[in-house]
Amino acid sequence: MDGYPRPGAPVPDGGEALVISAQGGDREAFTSLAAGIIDRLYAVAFRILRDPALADDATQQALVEAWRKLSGLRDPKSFDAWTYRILVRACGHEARRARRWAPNLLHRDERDAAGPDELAGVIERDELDRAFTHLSVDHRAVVVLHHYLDLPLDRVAEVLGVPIGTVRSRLFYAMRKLRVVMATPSLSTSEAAR
Amino acid sequence: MNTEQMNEQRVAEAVRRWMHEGPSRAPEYLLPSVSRALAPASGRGAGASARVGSRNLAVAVAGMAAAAVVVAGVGFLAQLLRPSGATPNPTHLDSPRPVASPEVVSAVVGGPTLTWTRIEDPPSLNGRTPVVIVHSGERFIAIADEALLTSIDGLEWTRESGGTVPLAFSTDEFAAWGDTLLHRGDGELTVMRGSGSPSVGTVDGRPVAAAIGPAGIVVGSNSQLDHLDILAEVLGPEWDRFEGSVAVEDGIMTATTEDGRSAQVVLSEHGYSEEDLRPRYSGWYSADGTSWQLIAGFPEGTIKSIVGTASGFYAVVGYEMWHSVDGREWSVIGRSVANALYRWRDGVLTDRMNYWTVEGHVQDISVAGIAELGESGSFANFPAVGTGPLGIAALTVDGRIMFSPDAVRWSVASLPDDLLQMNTGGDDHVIAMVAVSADKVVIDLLGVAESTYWVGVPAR
Repeated sequence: MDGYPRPGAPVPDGGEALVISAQGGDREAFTSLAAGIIDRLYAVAFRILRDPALADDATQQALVEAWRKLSGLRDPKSFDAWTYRILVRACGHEARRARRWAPNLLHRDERDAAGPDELAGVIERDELDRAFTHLSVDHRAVVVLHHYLDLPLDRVAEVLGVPIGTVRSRLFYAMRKLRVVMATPSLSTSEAAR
Repeated sequence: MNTEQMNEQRVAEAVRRWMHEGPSRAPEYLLPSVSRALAPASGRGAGASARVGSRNLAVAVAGMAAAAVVVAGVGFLAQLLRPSGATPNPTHLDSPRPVASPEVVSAVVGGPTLTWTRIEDPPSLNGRTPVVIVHSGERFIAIADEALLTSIDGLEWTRESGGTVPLAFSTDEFAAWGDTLLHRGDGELTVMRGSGSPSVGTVDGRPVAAAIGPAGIVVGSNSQLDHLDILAEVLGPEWDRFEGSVAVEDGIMTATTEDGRSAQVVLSEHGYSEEDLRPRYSGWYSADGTSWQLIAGFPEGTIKSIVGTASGFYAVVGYEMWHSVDGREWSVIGRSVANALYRWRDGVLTDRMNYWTVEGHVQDISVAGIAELGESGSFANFPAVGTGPLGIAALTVDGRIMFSPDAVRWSVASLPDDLLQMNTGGDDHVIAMVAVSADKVVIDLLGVAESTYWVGVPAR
């Protein structure tokens, strides 16, 4: 983890004071909190949405929403987890909006920026990408929080505000779909969506 | 470890590897952008305290009784009922906004409040499948198999083939709802939708939001070139519809079909550039629906929603709320993170549970008193919302309906079992539409339950 604790972990020393200050209307305090978490929020949003522009919007929306609702946060220590929950919700909004309006246009430079140039790897990522974007945002969020942020399932449940059984079920369902796709490289998008 | 377990482990590792590809840092412009979007903190501390107090009280009371009413102040109700133009202390903030006094009013009224009737293939629909049902101009309006039908009671439908139909406001040829604009002229009906054809063709670009008001019609359009059109033009018609991937890099568009075909288009060779594939938004105005003019000062950015009201047009563009009295002169009246607007009284409700007036005054609407909605109580989390003379109706994702006659008193009721059975669950929820008249709520499901819809009548 670079720079900021995992969601679900208490905010670091001084962070709680920043949250309390921000709850009192201190914009600078909130900006400091945002600066500490924005990279991680964006990274999670990108992995859920697989689109940099949508991740931009979701991250911004989540932080603005967090500022707006901060007074309702009862436990300042849970700021991090609470913000991730808002982010996942914002990702849901963006995904719905994109599904309604956006063409299915992917920019390869963004998708393949960090990957090796091996054909097998490209195919694998391509298939994963397709299968992943056909999962619901709720399912994607569980995969990202568990496999990207390495959160244990009980923490994922805490962040998402759902029972751990729901998290297990979503993870099982999501991984099963990804497994089917990877076992069948030529599987079509429509088949993967089923 | 058996084969299946090994396979699971292999997939988990692949997913984990894949997850760690991609950016780990936000773009540099994002934090300044967020910072700019934060409203000044003036007065926020006091307001925050008042708001927390209201919510806690509301939740507590909701837990005590099903039919509880919480009134934290009367300012909000007065605000909603105040005639347009008389709003004191206008503000220009919605996230968060200054608060002068305890203002959030929340109420919960328990028990079922709507009696539902399933309307299946009514003879007056003549076998048509309604794909749009709205309420406007004191009647329900349905689009069914390219026909325009109207109904006073939501039960008996009349096909409109001639004469004038009072669809909305001061003009009788248009109705607008969501991303759909209906235009009936010379006996022909034209449906213009953000999602695609057919289009009236009088507005350049693809309509993404439309609204009608007393002053005319405003359409927001996106002039982004459709990559499928380019593929079809260059590679032939068989490329215009395929379930494949499209990628653009260095001015070259690469398309791959599901059956493995692949082709490349060098955009510049055909008069295009990569920029043409990016969205460019503009606004169009028409007084009569036949002649359109580009709105010079229309806000630039992603057009999320436009609504026409008696006090003018409201539009959420990017993260700003804009207003125009006449549809042609626009001014920003505040910041907003809303994605959808709903006409309500002389102003607009947003999917962030705000009520906006023309002066830019923002007031929260609280559903916090409904304990089971928790912090997710927001129109944005509802798959369908309708507003009308009777009030506000919103479907919840867990299959209930919230209803309020005044945005103050809320009730939660079950939806009919047969309606819920139509919902497949998951992220592929059936798309529903809600229309609200003076005495009924109509729910129409798209894509299922053809020629079937539900009419709810509130208990008196």
